[in-house]
Amino acid sequence: MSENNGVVLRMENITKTFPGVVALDNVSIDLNKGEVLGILGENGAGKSTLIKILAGNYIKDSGDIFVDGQKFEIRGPAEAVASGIRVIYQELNTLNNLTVAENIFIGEQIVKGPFRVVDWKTMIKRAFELLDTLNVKLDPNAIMGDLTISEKQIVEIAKAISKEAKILVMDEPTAALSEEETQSLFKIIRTLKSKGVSIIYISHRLKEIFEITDRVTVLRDGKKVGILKTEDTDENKLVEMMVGRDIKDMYPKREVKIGDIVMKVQNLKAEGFNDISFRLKKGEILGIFGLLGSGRTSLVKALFGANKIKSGEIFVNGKKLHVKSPSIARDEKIGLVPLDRKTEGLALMMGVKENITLANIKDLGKSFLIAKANERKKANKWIEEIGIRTPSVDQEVNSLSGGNQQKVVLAKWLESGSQIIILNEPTRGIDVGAKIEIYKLMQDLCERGSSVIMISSELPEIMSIADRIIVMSKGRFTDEYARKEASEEKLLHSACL
Amino acid sequence: MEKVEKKYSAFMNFLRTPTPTLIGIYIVMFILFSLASKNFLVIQNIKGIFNNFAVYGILSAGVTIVMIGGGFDLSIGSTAGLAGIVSAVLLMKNIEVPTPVVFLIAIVIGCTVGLINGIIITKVGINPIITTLGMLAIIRGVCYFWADLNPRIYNVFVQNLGRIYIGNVFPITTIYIIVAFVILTLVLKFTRFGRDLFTIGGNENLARLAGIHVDRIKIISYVISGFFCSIAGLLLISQLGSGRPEYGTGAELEVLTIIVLGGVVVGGGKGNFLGVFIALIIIQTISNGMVLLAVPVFMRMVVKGALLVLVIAIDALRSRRNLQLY
Repeated sequence: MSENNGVVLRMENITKTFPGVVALDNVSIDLNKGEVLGILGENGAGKSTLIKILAGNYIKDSGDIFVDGQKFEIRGPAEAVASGIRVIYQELNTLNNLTVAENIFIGEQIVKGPFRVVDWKTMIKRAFELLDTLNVKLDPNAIMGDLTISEKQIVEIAKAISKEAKILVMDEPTAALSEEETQSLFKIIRTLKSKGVSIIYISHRLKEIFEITDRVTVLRDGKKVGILKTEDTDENKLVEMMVGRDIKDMYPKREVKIGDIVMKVQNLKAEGFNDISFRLKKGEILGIFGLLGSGRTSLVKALFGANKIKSGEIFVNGKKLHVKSPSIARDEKIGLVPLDRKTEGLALMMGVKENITLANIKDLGKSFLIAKANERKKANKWIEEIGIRTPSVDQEVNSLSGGNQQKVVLAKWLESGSQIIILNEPTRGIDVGAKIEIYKLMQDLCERGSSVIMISSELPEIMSIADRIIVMSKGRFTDEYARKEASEEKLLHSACL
Repeated sequence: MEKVEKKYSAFMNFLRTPTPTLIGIYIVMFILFSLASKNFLVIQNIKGIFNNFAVYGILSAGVTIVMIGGGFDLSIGSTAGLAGIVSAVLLMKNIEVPTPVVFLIAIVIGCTVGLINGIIITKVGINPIITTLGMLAIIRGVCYFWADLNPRIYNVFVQNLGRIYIGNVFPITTIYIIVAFVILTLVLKFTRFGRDLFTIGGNENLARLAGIHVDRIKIISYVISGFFCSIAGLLLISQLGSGRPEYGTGAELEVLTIIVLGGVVVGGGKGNFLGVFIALIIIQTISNGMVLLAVPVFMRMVVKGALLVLVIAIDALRSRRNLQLY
């Protein structure tokens, strides 16, 4: 390749395992100077693990990392930073009570004099210059908390390049950005590129990959599937590489008979969203799509009684519900598979059977004692029925794979007889095989007469699995599409309204 | 993709607590004390060791429950003191409230303090350390209302409560502790309350989202702690033969040390009474050994503090090796 200006970074045969999963299996990548390398993969493909190793947040099990041709052992974040590797995470790490300038120079304040006092004047001037090189107008004295997400991201980029940054890693930088903001981010990326900074760009939005990257690496289930020049490939090929099979097999959709309305939500308002109305029918999978910060998570939490409802009404089977707490929602046969299963869905230190029965211990037996025999029986029943792969019912859920953990969360609500099951990003962080099983399970539930509400930010997933999709933006309802009329462009457009 | 992980047996779980480290240190100290002091391995002294830990043992029963649920209770020493001094006053010669009524009042006092703690922590949402620290001061202050009375205990039943030795060897207070620990172990293992408590301590968010009545369970745990404070208060006045407002001062530190050494995780979700019991015996033997060796009070404090940090540090180092994440 003639345009190569030399390899800046080489990661060779990187392997990393967590309890129950091989997160990365012999993955190698290389990065040229002034290049944008896209890393593409579904949730759980190993993208995040790879960059966390590069950033020194995880220690690799085996493999070598070379920076500028020299072998480099990264033992912690400080060493990664010292060698010019900067990472901008999807969840921004900003100090919201400090100013923009202070945020840019965290940990490396400019000091002067024998007592090393902070040199505010120079710092503010430097901050201004940095923001200027990125072609953005931001006041270095502004308080971080007042900025929008995209502005905060720009500050993070300024922070990253405040010291010499050779390699800049961006993890799903557009997850919370509108179309316009995405374009201004791309402008910044091109500026940095022209200055010789190498960029690793992680995303699962194909459109962006084609727009900004020079080459693209595809990961699937912790393995590298291939590395291609962006101009030599097309969307279909990349998708096939990402999912490892035909799209039709990836998203198996069965036609389920859809019945009467089971849930009616009218003008619902709570913290994070406003005036949302929708209907859910028996046997239906209703998709909710929106960017980060669109209020989709707040909405499902409110439906489940975990967020306080300010106004509006919820009817289930014609009966008005007052879901003041999750326990009421549970008693009304509503279940929630939350966004983050490790902090909200599972008691990691407990066993499979405890996790399956914990929302519903009281129905196992009549007395205040736990009906242990019955508990075991029920847990075994669900393990069998939905195919949870675990050595025993007593196994700590911590050591199960993501897909099996998700099934345990689902089993918990099946065990409590939920008729309306809400899933927030149900396939986050699980491998392709487990994803397909989850899709099948969702449809099994519908066939049995339950209804499903699914939040997803993965477009192919929501467009294939959901019968109907409602789109939210900035806490408002913007559009509704039937499955057949939805397209990637339409959904993204509605999500930015 | 799926890997079969090793099964965690009860024994493996035990090895993962700080208790084995503690036992190791204990054996060393036991040998040292036995060699250094002729009075250490004497029935009379062993009896003393067991009787002395009655109050801390009873208090740690309740606090263990609170801590497994992710809570914290610093008000125990004061609460035991209050239950003790009020009982002592009610038992005074010219008042002489019937003993069962006194016991009932003591229990009501303890449980009420627990209830107040629980309500403030769950319903108002104040951090349990702050809440119970405030309560520690408030209750101790209240104890001093009766400072001038200096009530002595003449009631024979109350006197015997904490002093009888079965077969002249085995102190009855140890029976209380064992009974309490066994009952609570069964409660933790076999009741819905116990299961919910572990769930809350392990992941409160999850517990809420699973529809568990988190607030109710937590309040009950504080009431249980209060209940054991009442019992401890009665044991205090029984063993010391009088009621004084300062009784129980500093108990929270001793009890927390015992519980943490016993392998109860600060933050909740993990812990068992076997570990707490072993830690209790060990801390008391060490205290006792140092008394016999005429180690000055301040040095005893240093040793106990160092022991706490040492055991937990070893535990942290051991578990760090298993940690995969940075």
